[in-house]
Amino acid sequence: MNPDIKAIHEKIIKESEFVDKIVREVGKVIVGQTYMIERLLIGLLANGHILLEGVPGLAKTLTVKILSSTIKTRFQRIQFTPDLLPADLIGTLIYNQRDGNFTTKKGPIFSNLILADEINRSPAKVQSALLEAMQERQVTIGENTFLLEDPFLVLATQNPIEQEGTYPLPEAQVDRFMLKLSVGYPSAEEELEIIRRVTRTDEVKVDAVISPADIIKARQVVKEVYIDEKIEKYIVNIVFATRYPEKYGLKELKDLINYGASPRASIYLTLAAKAHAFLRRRGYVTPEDVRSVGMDVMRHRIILSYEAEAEELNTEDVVRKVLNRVEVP
Amino acid sequence: MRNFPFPCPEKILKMAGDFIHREKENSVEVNKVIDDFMSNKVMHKLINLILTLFPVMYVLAQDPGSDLHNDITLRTFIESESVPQNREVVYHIEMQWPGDLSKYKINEISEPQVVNLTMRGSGSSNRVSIDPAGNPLSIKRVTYYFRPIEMGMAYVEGTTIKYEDTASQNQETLISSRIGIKIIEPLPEPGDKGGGSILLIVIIGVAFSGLVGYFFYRFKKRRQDEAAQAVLPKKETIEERYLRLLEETVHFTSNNLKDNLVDLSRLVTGYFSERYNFPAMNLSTEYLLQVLKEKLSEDVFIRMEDFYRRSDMVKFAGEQISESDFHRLFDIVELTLEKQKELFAEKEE
Repeated sequence: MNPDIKAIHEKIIKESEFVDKIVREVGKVIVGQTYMIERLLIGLLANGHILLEGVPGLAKTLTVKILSSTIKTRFQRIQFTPDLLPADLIGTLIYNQRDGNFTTKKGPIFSNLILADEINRSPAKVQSALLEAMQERQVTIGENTFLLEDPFLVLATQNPIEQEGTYPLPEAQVDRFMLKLSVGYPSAEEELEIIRRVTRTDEVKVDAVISPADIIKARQVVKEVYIDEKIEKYIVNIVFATRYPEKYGLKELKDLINYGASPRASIYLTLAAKAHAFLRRRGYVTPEDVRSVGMDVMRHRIILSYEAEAEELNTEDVVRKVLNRVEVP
Repeated sequence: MRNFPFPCPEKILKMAGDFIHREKENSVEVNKVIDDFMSNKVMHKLINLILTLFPVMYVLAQDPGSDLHNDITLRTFIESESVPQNREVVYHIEMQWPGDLSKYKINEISEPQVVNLTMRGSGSSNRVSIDPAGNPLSIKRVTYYFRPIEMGMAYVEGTTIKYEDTASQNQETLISSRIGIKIIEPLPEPGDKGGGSILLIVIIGVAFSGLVGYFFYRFKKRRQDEAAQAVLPKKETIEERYLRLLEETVHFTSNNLKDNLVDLSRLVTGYFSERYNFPAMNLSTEYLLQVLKEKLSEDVFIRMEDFYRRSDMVKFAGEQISESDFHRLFDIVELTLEKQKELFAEKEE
């Protein structure tokens, strides 16, 4: 092995010890959902926010709560409702009658891990406040700007059904999430185990096994993971195939896509692929890493045309076609 | 070329001389006899003959089953003993053994050390022919191309070839001998002008064009005749086509081996895609191997798995690839295509 990559590999082995511990602790409560847990770890390692979408009852909220319990850090769950105001989220200035001054009351966003539950239930101004904080990693209250502590990770959930009375996130804002996960149902065996665990009388205790400093250190190693030029070109080809499908032998997609993926897709594909390689204890990225995270990075970044809707195609169908067509290096 | 663990003839002569000298000190009579003996030219020639035959007898005395050298033959040669300075020296290393190509695996061929030459490139080929007894005979040839530096003598030093018996996994080494080449005056290049007038060049050009036209007409006519005469032209199989592409597209240029490996990998993946009708080019190695495991025979799959894993390390993990390693991977692909060719030929029959 190349000496530089060997050194990275050794660092990964050392810095990734916590991964098994987190998986073990989360596994004490959550049955299955290994895909979701792995993606949450990718978000944590690549410093990217995650949007979880799934029908109610799939343990989305519970998984995020348990994951936060494994990290010795501050966690806030914010339930998004139609009457939530930006000030409820980021904080506000309160007038102190005694001394006649305004004092800053920081909101729940001043935390390390934020669970924005049912994010599409709040109006656009609240969503904007959150998404601005996500992008800038800072919050302005009155005249003062406050930096958010590192690590700062937003894990938002939304429900794909019951769209009445919701405020769907605009595409430009969804683009700020590194991954959008589609959480599925558990298997029959997993569901059987869920019943047994839930109806058990003994209480399960989840231990905090990692500190924020460990996460920051691991993030540094993730950035060092080697990515060959061929893989970078492969990533660019995937993203470009959503913009100019006809150039990649996907003429049939030309009229189905209104807007292809943004450069953020390329950036996040690279970061997520590196984090995926880290989780596999590998010091270099392979096409398999890119393909593994491709769907989660791309599914919320493509805007389809009416023709696509008429043909009952969704973005996942388009991304699948792209991944299956672009030549692997 | 074989190596023998015994002293050179000069050393043997010296040892014999020492022995005779000791005997001379022991006995005056014997001394005289030996003097007579040594002065006899016929006897002297006899000793030389025995010393020359000794290596041959040594080899013949070996147990055929115990030494891999008895099975594999190494031959090194150059295409021409004298080469003009502006032409290439072509140096071949040829190994041959009875039986299948996969009987021995060539693990490493050291880059030949040269004097008054620079390496320009190399190539490798495998073929299986039939010996007079009707048994298969595998021949592997590695060819190196050198560019002479200056006139005079040039040398290709001995090359070390490490190989492995795939059945017993015994590893052995062969060493080739040093070869000398005479570098002579450069030949005039086709572009060189001897001060001829433009008119002469135009006349030659017109005459040449006429000749080309005439030969082209003859060639075309002959092709038409041949096409008319051909009853049913033999159709090239997929494997034959890919073997041809392998020879035509993958080149052994030593400064660009990584790109060559990418081409090699793309070529063999393209073959699997076409032969088994699945989108192999768009699959990552893990998925591709999963599919190939279902489709290939066990030994071919093991070889291809080795190929793809090693290729991935070079392509994606920044590993360097040596020339001998590239030859090994090239051989895997060539052998796989040969095996597949046999398999599908049998199926068609």
